[in-house]
Amino acid sequence: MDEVTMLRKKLERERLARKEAERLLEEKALQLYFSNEKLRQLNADLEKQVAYQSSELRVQQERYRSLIESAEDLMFWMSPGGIFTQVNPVVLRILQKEPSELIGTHYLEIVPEEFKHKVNRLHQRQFERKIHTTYLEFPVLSSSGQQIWLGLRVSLVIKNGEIVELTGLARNITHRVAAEQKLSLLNTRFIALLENLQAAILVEDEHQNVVLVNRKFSDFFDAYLFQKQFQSKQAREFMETIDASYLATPILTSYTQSNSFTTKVLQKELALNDGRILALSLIPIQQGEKSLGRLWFFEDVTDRKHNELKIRRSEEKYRGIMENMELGLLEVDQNGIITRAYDRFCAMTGYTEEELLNQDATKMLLPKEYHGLMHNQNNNRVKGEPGVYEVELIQKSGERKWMLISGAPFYDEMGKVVGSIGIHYDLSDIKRLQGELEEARQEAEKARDAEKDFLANMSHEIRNPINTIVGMTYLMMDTELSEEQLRFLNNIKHTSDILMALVSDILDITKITQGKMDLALREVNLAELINVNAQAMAFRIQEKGVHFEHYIDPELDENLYVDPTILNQILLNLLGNANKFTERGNITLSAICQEKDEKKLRVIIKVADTGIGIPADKLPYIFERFNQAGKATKHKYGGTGLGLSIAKQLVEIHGGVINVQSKVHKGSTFWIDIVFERAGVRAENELPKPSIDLDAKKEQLQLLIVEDNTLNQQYIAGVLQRKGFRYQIANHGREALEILEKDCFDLILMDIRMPEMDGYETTIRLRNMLHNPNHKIPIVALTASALLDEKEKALQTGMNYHLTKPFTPDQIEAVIIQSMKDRAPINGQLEAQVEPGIHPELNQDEINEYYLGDLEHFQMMIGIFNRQTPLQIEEMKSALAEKDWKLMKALAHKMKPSFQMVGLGHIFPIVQDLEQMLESPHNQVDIERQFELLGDQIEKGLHITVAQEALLCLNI
Amino acid sequence: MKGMVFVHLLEMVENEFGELLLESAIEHAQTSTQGVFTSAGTYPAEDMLKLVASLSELTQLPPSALYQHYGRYLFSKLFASYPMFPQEVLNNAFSFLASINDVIHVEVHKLYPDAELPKFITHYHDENKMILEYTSSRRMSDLALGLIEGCLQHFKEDVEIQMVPLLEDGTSVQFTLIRKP
Repeated sequence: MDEVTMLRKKLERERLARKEAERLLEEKALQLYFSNEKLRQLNADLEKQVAYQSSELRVQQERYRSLIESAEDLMFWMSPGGIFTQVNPVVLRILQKEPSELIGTHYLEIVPEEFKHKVNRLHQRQFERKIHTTYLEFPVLSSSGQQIWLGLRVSLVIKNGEIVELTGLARNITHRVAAEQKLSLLNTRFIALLENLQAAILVEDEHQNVVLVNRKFSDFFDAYLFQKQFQSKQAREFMETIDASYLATPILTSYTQSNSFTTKVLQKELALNDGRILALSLIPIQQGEKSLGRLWFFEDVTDRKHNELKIRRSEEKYRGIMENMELGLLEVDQNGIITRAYDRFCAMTGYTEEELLNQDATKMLLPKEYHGLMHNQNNNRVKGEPGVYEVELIQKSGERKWMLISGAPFYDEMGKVVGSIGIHYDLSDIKRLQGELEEARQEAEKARDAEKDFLANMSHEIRNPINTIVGMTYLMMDTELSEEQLRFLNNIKHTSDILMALVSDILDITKITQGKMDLALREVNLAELINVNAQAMAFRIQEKGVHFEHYIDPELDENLYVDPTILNQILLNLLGNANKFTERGNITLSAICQEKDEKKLRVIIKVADTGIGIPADKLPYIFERFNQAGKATKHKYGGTGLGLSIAKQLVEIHGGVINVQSKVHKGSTFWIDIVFERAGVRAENELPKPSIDLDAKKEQLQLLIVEDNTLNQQYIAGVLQRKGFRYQIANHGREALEILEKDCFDLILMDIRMPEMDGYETTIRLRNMLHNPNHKIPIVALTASALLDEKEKALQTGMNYHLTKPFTPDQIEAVIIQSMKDRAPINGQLEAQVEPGIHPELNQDEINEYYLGDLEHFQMMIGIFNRQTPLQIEEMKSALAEKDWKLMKALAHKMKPSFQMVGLGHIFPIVQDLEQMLESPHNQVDIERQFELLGDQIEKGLHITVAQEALLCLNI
Repeated sequence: MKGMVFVHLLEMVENEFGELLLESAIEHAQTSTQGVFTSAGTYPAEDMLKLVASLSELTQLPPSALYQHYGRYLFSKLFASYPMFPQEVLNNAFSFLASINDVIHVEVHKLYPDAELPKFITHYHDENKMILEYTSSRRMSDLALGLIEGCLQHFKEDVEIQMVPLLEDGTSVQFTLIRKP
């Protein structure tokens, strides 16, 4: 490469480098230009900023100026001589002066005389010593003469060592001064309070320097210990001294060391060596978060403590007693919230006291069903009323426990009810015992009921065989008999009657005690009812030669509501009793109206006798069951011993009372006292019209006997055969239904208690066999029971008639006749019970007059007539044979009234004539003829009355 | 890489090896601008590698020796061009070297915002000893060594330099400078 080429190359490079450099330069220059532009922009912004800041500054200056002018501080400027040259508006406002009043005057002129010297002296000294600033508080006077306290700061303005001006800056401190004066007063009071306080006080500051100790402090802890000035002493020194001199176990010193008591109040009781007890409260003094020290407050609580101890011991004592009494105590507030639960209560319920506290006692412990009760109890507590009640409590285990609660309110010191206390006694054992007793009682009652049932059933069972005996006796009496056989039979019948009476007594008492005896009141003439009973008994009593009298108050001759059955039985029992135990003397019956008003009538009916009497010691028990006056009596007189008991209970059923007076060997008086309601109207004759039309076509009737007992079968069959009826026999209900399917019948005699199918079921089945021609056939129930319900049940199931065993052949005949009579109307299974008629040959009017429809009574009387009359005729026969006219006359007289009672009034004149003839017995033949006539008539009459009795038996 | 580094290299080559060698080197190196450099400009680093490789071939000197030599030359030129170093960095060579990364390079960046400068971190520095770490993707630690030597020469200080590569690719190298007693 030659030099020229090389140089050219080099030059070329240089040129290119320069071009490149120029381009770069241009580029940089442009950059610079933009940078400059930016900078200029920035500068302009800066100027704006400065202008803005300047205006801000001006505003701020303005603010400062107005601040000065409106400042609460007083500002003024004075010449070195103390003459005001300028003041701010505050000065003028506070001093209530115009600028002209102040400018040019000396500042001391507004200072009150008593402060002038003090103020002047300070400022003199400031002047002399060139003290830059002084401060003094003093009052100045406003135009209105008001004292205004100022805190004045005076500053010197010094130029070149010369004082050229004074500036004053003051603050109105009037309020502060007033507050300070108030505070000072408070402080004085506080000090006085501290000094007179009955507690010892020591106050320490936050550095534990003692700042205050009151006089009591040195009283509490020997004075000499604290003679020295307390200032600049540490609390610790005091407490060390007290620890050492008074406390067996020093503790106070440790409190001074701990910082933990600077925020919390510490309370501690100190037992001093000298026996005193002090209560210390170490109270931190705080201002906000900052601790300002502590207050040691000692109080002498020796007396209080001793009293507390006494109270606590007393409380312990009573609590101990209560806790040992097995009584659980619970206290609740007025809202029923538990406030205290004693140990025993906790043990009773299984809860701890913590679990119980603050709980609602009712909700927590009581089952729902007692909430109402508890609510009422709580209301009573609020009213201040105590109460005792039994509830179940739910224990924690969920089990219930019976409690007897005695709740009583308790009061606060103002006498206001604040809650109540419940004393709980655990009744679980007692309740269990009660339950067991109740069970035992029920057991006993069951046993008694079983006994009653047994008694009732046995009576039935006994009735059946008696029925057979009586029935067979009747059958036999209808056969050819020798005299002796007849006497034997009469004895059998007599004994059977006694047996029946006993069984009836037992049944009666069973009925009464089982409550099956209902009071059935009817309108009855009381005088007549009593009279009939008297008449009836008179026969029997006089038979024995005992004199019988009766008196009936005419006042009783009116209609009253009476249950005649019950009253009859009562009278029968009392008279029967008197008769039984009286062998000579008198028996009197009297009925007296005791009181009477429009609605009611009170009667006393008295039965007095001259019998054996009742010993005084037996008297109280005479109305009890099975209780006769001694075993000897029972042995001698017999009977069930139920008569008086039955009488008493019947009297009570009728709402009356029965009483007795008696003396042994002198006699007894029983009287009943009953109040009856008055009916006012005489009862109408209710007896049905006699219409017995004895059908001769007995042979055409077909009867069915349904009876399982073969003896009874034989008896009934025997009767029917003799009376001329046709019959078939079924051994039980099922067999009866089979027979009834095949044959037509006119009547069924149906036993109730049978094997296979009983009488009730048989009846119901038959009544429902509508296709069977026998389904409406009359049915006579044969019950062994006199119980009312058995009879009623029989009628309810569809039977039509009812016969109680034992029954007589005549009774059987009567019921058959009655059914034939009723044949036409029998068309339903609920046909009413038959009303027995009166035999047509008896005098209807006489009977009605006597019995007023009381057929039971009629039946009783006719029974007596039927049994006594044949005997009386026999007696008269023997009297006639012995020509004892007197006796014969007495017998006639005695017999006379009975004929009208049984409707055989036509015999009455025959007896009367005979009686008259016997008055002067001249013609024995006439007497014999008259007696023969009487005998004939009586024989005919008896035939009728016996039939009548049988008829009446149907319904009893 | 700043044009200034190329301009000084070409200037040194022309002075020390003659115009002819310079022309041959430029022609031979085939740089992006065919050897035209202006100090305010910026050029690819490959151009430097090409130039040094070309020179090494022409002079039969290893590139490391060329870089080291050029470093010593460059320091005196740079130091003379920019006299506005603060007084405290000019006390001695150590304080000057210690200030490169945090003071001098910061100033260089102000002047040439696009300059890509190596890192020159001081790990240890007392009166007698100093440890520096050079880090650069250009792997021109020999140039750095030359510059350090130029610096010591300028302050007329007698210091032994140990050079230890920290990474095998040469991007990171540690210099330990111990003042000779």
